[in-house]
Amino acid sequence: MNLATLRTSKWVLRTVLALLFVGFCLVLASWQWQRSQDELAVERAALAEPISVGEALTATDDTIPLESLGRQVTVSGPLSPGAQTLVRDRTSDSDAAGYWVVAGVEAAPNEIVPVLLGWTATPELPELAGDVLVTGRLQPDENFYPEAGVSIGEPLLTITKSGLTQVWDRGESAAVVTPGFVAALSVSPATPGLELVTPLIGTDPDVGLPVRNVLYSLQWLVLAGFAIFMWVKWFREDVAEATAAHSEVENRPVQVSLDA
Amino acid sequence: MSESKSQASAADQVKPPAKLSLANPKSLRGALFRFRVMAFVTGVILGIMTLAMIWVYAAGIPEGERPGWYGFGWVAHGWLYIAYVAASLDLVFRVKWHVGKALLIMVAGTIPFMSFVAERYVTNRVEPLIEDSVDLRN
Repeated sequence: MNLATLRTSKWVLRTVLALLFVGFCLVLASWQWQRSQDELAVERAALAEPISVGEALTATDDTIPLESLGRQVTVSGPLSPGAQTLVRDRTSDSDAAGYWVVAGVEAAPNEIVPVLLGWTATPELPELAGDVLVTGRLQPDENFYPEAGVSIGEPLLTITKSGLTQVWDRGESAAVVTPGFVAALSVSPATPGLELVTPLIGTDPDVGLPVRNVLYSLQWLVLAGFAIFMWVKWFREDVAEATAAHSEVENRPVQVSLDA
Repeated sequence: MSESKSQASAADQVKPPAKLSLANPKSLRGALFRFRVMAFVTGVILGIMTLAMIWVYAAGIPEGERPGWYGFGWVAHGWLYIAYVAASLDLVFRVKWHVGKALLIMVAGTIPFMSFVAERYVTNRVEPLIEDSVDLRN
């Protein structure tokens, strides 16, 4: 019975239209999905581009915006003579024990950006002076050991804005130390005797899913589902009707007239 | 009993009566109410979004600078329209209307202000059906 109903011109037409509509929905769904992926790619590419550290630090309080965390930034300016310090109990990329060297770069008037220049085996600061151009990744303050005391001239235990502010000579104008620090990926001119260390947060910040396009994409899939549902529902009704009509003909009682 | 009379009664048996037999007329009332609510909501949001679209294009606001509610409004309309289609289908299956009518009602939800027309059209036809229906519980 099913096949006979399907072969009727009415159902051939309906099936073709339903398939066309479902195909149309699928094309639009995949188009919207592709758009969401393209948008993601564009946003990710934009976030992978280095920006100046001033553009990355947009918060007015001492926090680092989430979209700037781990982001590639550039810092340029003179190394601040009084703002250079060692951080103890730090390893190189090859796990050798030693110290990290953090130096302040005067990236803007009255502003010092802490930069992790690299690792050294011995507790001695190298000669650091002159203009530098640093590309690195923005890292948050190491607030995991807030009880750590600081003393001027001694290596620090953690890199924090408050610790650096206390130990650095920030000049007469008491320049502001920016929150977090930049873990250098490249320093120009290179600082001799220092080995660059891989930043802890070593990836670009990620972007959220473009909800709009994804929701549109889902909408088309739901509409395709409705079309299939309608086809099935009406088809089954027609089949049931055809079957009923068929059995009606088969089982119709023979009318016998007794009046004659 | 004459020959012609008995033939007529056989034909009546093949063709179902025009009256709807309802297990529960209240559930059809509910379906009609849901359809009317969705027709109204979809109509209102589509009207607002159409005006917003005219404004956006007339003012020449590029895609990146459009207000957040503009994109959100279209997404909301899309999902409300899906609810409208679901409510329409539920109602159409209950009153056993044919495919063409069902498609017209659904398409009306995508044309500005047409869902209000569809709402009047459907209500004017379904309400008498409910009044006339045979309540199978009796």
